[in-house]
Amino acid sequence: MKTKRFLILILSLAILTGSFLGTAHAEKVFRWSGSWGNTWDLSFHQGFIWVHMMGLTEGLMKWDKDMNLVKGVADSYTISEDGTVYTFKIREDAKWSNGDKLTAHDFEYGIKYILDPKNGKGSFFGGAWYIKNAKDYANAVIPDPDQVGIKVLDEHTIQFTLDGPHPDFLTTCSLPTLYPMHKTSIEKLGNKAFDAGNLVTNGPYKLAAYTPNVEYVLEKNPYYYDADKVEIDKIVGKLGGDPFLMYKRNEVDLINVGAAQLPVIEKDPVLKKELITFPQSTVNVIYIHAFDHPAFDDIRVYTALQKAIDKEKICKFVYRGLAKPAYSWVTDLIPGSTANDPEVVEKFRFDPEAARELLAEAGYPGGEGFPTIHFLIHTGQASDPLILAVKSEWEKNLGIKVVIDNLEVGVWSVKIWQVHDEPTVSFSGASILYPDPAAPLTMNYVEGALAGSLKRKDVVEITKLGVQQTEALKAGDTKKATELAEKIKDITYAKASPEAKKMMNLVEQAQRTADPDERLELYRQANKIRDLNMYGYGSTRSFPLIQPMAARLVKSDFEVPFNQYLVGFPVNFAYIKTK
Amino acid sequence: MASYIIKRIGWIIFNLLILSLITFILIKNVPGSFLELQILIGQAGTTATGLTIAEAEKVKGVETEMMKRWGETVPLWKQYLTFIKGLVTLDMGPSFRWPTQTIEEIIAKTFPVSFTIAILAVTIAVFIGIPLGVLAALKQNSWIDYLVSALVMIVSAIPNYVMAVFVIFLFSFWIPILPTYGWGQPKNYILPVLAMSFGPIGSIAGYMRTSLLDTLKQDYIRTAWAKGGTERHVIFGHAMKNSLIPLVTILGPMISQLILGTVFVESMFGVPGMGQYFSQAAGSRDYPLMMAQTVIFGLILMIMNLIVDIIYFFLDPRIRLSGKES
Repeated sequence: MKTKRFLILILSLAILTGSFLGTAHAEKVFRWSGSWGNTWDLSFHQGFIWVHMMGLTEGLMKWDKDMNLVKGVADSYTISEDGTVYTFKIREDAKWSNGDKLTAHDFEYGIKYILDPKNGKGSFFGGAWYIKNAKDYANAVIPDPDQVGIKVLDEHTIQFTLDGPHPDFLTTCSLPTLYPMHKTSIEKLGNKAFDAGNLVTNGPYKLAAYTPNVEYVLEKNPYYYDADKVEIDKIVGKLGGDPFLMYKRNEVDLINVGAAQLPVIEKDPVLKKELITFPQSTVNVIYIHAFDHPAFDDIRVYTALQKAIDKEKICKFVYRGLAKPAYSWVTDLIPGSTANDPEVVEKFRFDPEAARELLAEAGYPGGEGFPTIHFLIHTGQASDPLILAVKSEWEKNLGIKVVIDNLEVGVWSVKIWQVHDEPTVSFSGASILYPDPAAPLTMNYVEGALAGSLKRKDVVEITKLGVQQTEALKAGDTKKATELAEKIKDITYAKASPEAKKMMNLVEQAQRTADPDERLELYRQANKIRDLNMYGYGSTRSFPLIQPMAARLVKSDFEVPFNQYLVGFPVNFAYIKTK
Repeated sequence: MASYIIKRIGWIIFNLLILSLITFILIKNVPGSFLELQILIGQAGTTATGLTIAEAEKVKGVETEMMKRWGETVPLWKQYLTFIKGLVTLDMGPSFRWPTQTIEEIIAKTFPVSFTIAILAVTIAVFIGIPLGVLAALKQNSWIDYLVSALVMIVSAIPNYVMAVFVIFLFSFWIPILPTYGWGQPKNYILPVLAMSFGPIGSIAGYMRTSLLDTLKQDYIRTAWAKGGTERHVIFGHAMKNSLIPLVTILGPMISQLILGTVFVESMFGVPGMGQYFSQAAGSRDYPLMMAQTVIFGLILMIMNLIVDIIYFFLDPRIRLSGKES
């Protein structure tokens, strides 16, 4: 009797478990690792905000799965002949995740919310700064938001007036700075409107749960106009743990992998099959900081430093093939790039003999008399093998001394802006976020490149002024800060090299050019000048090292289109399919 | 007793003020700020270090209304008083790093998690450490003693994040019964608690062994043996009771350390506790959160010490809380 009861109990449990498992199995869940961030408020632009772009919120434009720019919630659009007025019609079936209608007012509210100096500020404004008076409003120069060039013509029509013709404005309409926001919930709930359960979104997914540092859960938005085409019901983003162990344990379906994991993956037939690698528009760069030394006024020294690094060898042995040498700031994924231009490649390709000759011509034969270079890194970079590889290449091939200064990240963030007594360099990655020739040549970057062309004493002077400007800003002395900014600008424009000024003219000309081929050619020429002279796009001279490849492990039952421009994230969760 | 507790609470408040002032001075003198770090590394991919002229202008815009409370424009003494006022009124404002969460919300959410994990880890450590220590003491100089002592040394010396990897391999790969990551289900507690309990097991076993050996040499134990007491009666009736007293003193600080000192374990297993917030706040120069967490940590430590002293009073009537021997 007892045995019989026990068997019945076991059988019931098995049926119950089976039915639960059955239910769980029917729901399509995609779990991934590799996202990060701290808030869902779009005005605080941090890494996590890109999750909005991948599934939570949708702009007027979006990427299709093959990374072509297509209409998002825009039904149609027109561009004025002079390229400065964009008028969008919004889809009438577009809704928010709470069922509310999505209107032109939501776009106006969202964009102005992000620009509003009272709200959070990130560090990326994208196309929002193309809108007339937007930059001045964001910087509190203009207090009246009505002066920003955004006009709601009717409930479903919005018009943007730009400060000039910017053909890439359409592309930037796919980025979070031009997203709509749900006014009612934000005005009613304040900060709480960005909590899971309260956040109202208009994309294919809504935020169901969020535990900081642990995970977030997105659920399919039933009100999304294209909800029928969204296959995955739930997206789970894991915000910690050891991704590789989690992947092997089948706790996640997608992870980023690095060169260190490649040997293990190569030996495992299943993992090897699931490994996906693809190029991304990121370049690792060496920045030359502010210090005054005559050696660094000589372009031959910079050329020697670059030619002395065997990038091929670093890519092969340090990155195990997960990178390729970079000779341009702009990868060949961006139209107008001169990454493969023979003149650029030839000028900077590895040639230790030529590098030594150049250094000797500059007055430092065999590195004799050349100052010690300080390589400023922060603790997060300490394990990057690239730093040691560069140090070793410079010391071996040029006979110069390189010292690595490893600093805590906060200290590092201050040091890199200071004027140094000895030559100081640092290292970082930089990405171009969308494939338009204007993206790596915005006026911000061009002004940075102008500063990169300055003589060392001028670099030191503008750096000192920059430090004073930051202090004035922190002290609330905006008048002094503005004066200092003007002074920096004056010095930069007056003392920039003729080549850098030529580059700027080309960009200004390109911004006024409507013909796409002509525009592309102008940007290409500007890129080439920047690459050949190593102006970079920061306020100091710099040069590219390598273009890292993205490497992902994706479970074989999923098909994930990746975005090469957005540091290799999925294009959109809505495009993930099961096989 | 009541007057003693009130006096101690007074000292706790005074010490917390000193602690918060020292922390404030230190934090304000550390190079780097939240804003600078955000501009440099708070972006997805665009980690270009070269701040262009136009971008430098943004620094002005970055200081939001939220940050003005802590901004450079407010005098230091006022910032400090604002913090103290916030602490007293439980209105500490938003964190920099987590701008849509207030400090008190963060602490209210994370403290119970860290506290539970710490208590569970210490409980396991007590249940395993005490018998191990007793066994080693009773079998002094035997192979059992050597084995226990060696184990104690090993588990005490290995950091909890190494133990975390060990338990992951043990229970997620070799015997694949537990998930490596996640939160919300009872099974998610097992691995982090285990990883965190190894160190305390070592400490407790070590203390227990030494303490019991000391007690066994006392005159009253010799008297108990002489009176013909059984081994069970002498060891567990007399020696154990007194040997446990010194152990109480280490449990308080042990719990407080586990509450905040679990950064790696939390991040490895996805535990939404205080440790990760604390390390992230320091790394990103999130002043309000750093200040609040330092004070909370000090408070926990002092309260634990007070509780230990009170428990000590009840365990050992010879001890007068005033510090005078009876």
